Amino acid sequence: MTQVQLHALPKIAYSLAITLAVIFAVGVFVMGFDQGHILSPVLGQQAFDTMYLHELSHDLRHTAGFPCH
Amino acid sequence: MRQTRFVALVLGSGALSGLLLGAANIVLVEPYLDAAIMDEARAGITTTDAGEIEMYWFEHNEYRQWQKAGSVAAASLLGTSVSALYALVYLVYSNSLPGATQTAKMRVLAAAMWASLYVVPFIKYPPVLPGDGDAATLEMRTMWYVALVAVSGAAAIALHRVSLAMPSKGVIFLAAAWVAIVSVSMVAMPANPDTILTPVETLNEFRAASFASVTIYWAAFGLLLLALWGRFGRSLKIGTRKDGFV
Repeated sequence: MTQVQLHALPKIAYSLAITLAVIFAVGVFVMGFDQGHILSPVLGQQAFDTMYLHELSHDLRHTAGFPCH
Repeated sequence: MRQTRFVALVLGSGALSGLLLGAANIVLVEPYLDAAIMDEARAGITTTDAGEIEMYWFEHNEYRQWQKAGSVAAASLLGTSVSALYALVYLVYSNSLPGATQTAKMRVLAAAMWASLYVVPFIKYPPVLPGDGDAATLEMRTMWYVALVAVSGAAAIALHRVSLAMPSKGVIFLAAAWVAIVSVSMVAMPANPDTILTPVETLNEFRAASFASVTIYWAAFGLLLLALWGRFGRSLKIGTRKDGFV
């Protein structure tokens, strides 16, 4: 009979896990998908018109394969 | 403390590899982006006044320099962000990843993330040049792109968890299952609906340059992390009982 070895998952602090998840989600959204959303609380409609972060990361979006415009 | 130092090494590797991605982008991809954006800009000229046209191109070139500098910064930020996911997945699954040593496990995870998070969407939704994207379909294209990445990544993790309770021979079956899930998803999801006007030869060259640039990021990330790990982290033994792992 084949032996089956069960691997326990390691413990990782919730705070560290949440921090890493936030860095990933926010960073990828800002660099890959933002169309003015991030700066809209500060700039209002102007953020969607100028899309400052979109323009900043524009070339990388095309290179990395994100849908850009 | 050990986990924190490991995370610092991973994020540092991600940031530096991202800079390399930015450099590769400037050298390999920007010529294609420049040409496509130049065509768009040329079509945007609405005056015949020589002075106004000269000012138009001056402002255009300044704006492009700003965008190119931005792409390097963006590449570093994106590299850091993706490496955060790498650190999270590694810390959770370090005990069970394939590989006899920690460095082998690190290589396996980097290769798995490159394949599941980059290669899969590249095959179904390959990058396009500026001018070929229709703003009216952006939301739909974004939704399907994210859905495919999510299916590919989630399937890889789910099947890995299943593999923990299976004999080693079952791993081949599970790898085939991942390919099947991803393949069915690709067939089921709609193609990019936009009309592509760029000549096929130019488009293929751009896509090859794009693929090479992102692959350089993943290769550099893996090599840099292993180098930093060898210098600063080997003694940490992430994923052992001593480290608080069970």
